Amino acid sequence: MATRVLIVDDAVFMRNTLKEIFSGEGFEVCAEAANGVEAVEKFTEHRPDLTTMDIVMPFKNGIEATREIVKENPAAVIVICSALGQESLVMEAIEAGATDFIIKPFKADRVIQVVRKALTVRR
Amino acid sequence: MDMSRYQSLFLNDTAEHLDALEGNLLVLEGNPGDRESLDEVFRHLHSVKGMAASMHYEVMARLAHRLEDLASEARESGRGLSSPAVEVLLQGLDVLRVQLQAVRGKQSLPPLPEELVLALEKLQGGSRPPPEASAPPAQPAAGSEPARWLVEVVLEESCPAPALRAFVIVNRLRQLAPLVECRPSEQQLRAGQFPGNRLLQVLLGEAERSGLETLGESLLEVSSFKVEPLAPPAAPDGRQAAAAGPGPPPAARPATVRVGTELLDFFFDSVGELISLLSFFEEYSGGVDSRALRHGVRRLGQVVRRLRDRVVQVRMVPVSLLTARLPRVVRDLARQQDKQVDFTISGQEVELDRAIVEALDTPLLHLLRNAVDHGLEDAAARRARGKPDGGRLELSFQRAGERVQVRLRDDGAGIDLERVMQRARQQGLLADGERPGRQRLLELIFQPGFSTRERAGQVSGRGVGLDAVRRDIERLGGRVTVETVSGQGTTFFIDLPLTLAIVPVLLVEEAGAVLALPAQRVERVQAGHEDGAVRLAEILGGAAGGGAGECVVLGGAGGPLLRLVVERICGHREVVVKPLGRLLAAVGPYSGAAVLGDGRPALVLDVDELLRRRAGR
Repeated sequence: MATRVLIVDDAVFMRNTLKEIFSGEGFEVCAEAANGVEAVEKFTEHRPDLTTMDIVMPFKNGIEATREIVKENPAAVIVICSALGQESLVMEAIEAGATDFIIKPFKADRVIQVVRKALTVRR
Repeated sequence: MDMSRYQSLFLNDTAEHLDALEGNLLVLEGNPGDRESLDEVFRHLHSVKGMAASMHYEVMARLAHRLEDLASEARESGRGLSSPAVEVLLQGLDVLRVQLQAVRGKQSLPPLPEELVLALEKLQGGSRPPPEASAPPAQPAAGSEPARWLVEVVLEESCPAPALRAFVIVNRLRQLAPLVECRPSEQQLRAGQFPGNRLLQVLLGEAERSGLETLGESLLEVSSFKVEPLAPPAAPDGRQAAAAGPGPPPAARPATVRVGTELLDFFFDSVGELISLLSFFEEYSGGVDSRALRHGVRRLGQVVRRLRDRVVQVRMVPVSLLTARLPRVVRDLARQQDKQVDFTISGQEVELDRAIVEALDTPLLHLLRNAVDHGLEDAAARRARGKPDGGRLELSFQRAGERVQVRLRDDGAGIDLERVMQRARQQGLLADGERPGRQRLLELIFQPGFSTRERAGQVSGRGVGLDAVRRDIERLGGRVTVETVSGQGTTFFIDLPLTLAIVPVLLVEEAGAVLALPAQRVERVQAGHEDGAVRLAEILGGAAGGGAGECVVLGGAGGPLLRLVVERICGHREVVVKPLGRLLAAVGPYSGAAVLGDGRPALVLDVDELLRRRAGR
């Protein structure tokens, strides 16, 4: 069964890029969200195996969304997507429960590498 | 592998193991069946062996190995350590200490002394194979679970955000085990800093090795991931701390940081200057009509004094630092004299300024030697008196408010006051017809050149040390007195301040100079003089100024001793007293110098020296 992915980012362009990367690897993109509020909703609805989460988003940011998701789903695997220079925000997200991170701009093989490793982390 | 950066850790840890080992051996000497102490002996030797081997000090490791074998045999056979075995282990310990010194001085290790080698052969019957040269440092003792793990991670060169990556790794590790410490520190990582060669070190508490290793496999941007068990840290053992008498120093230690003493001295000196400056401002603001200034100075005073109290606290160390090695010294002294001595120490956890503890070493040793040499009788004489064969020697420390009281009691022959009186007459310390009271006689034995010993004892010379003991103690701001009962024993009482360098003094002006008198020796002050008062300037050899002057009465243990007249009494101050050094100290009756708030120096007078000069006139 293919790994099911939830992509969270407020930029359509980013979501499309990631969609392409994941499809190419045989992952199934089961849902998308454009802000933190949607992220929590879609997670609860679809229960993906993996979530990629942007940080800076309207209504609710990625750190808060991570916190909420992990609280209800301690085994959730969330990979933070961040721009260079936002390290301290990433650290906050890690403390909130995120598993790992990728730095934009994305390189396809890098994304896959991080994601695969993240999926092996036993909670 | 380059182990040199572990040098200082090796030196410190080994020294601590050796000290603890000594304590255990002394306990075993009195009680060969003590299983716990024997286990400890084995563990300490095992640790020393491992550390020396990993530092490539082969000779040391081999010696530790042979000593460990001795201990191990005794453990396994259940017979305990025989008396000759304990002796050999003590000798071996001494050699290990000598070797450690050589390492510290970067010299090559001397070969083992012949007699130790022979003694070992006799006990073990032939040599044993040397240990592996590559034993890892601080291996956990057989059978015990490692309670700590060292995880070392090297990040890939290409890792773009090493601090962040390290942060993630630390976070993951935390989910498996309690985090003790990491380097770079969490703070640094959070700030995005990663000094060093991409090496992340994490010290963890109890964990499952397999869990840690699996985690290592799930990490990214990591070029190497190593997990190593460490021996649990020297855990406070409640049983050790309970051992009364000549046992190892109190084992319970709070989380600590090692700081060079130079740095501590710098803090202390700086605080001393702050106090001086504070004094100056307090004086100055008193005379200026500014409420704001006075208020500010008051606040400043609170802050500085609080800082001073803490810094003084930092200089406080338990007296066990000094007393831990005394049981061994007493044991050796007793053996030399062919006497049996039962030596107990209590109150070792009492804390004193480091400088006082260090300076207490010489006078205490002197008193101990005197007690063993002159005070305690040999077994035959004791039996004749109906005393137990072994002489009792008790050293105790007790905190009493802002002072510490030290007591050294022996149940020996006591001081023969008749002979003291005769001797004092002989030495011209007493007038012919004088019938001195008991107190006076007890004070006389502290006079220089005074000894009732006709022949110099082999151990303590003529027994003249008491004047030196008194001088040493009083230099520290303390007092020493003695009590004795003929035939039953003698007790020395030493009273010490908690801290050395910040001393309350009474400032006086005389002959154009500002001088300081230790407040502790000042009985009272008064205007005008009484009979028998003497001008301070005269004792100092200067010209006295005019004027009626004011009077300071100085005292000692037995009451008022000297009435001094000075031009003016300036008031009480707290100052930091610095020692003068031998050259300057010889110039006059001064025990040190202080810098006042306005920057002027004030020489601190040595009261007993003043007394002696007065008597000499």
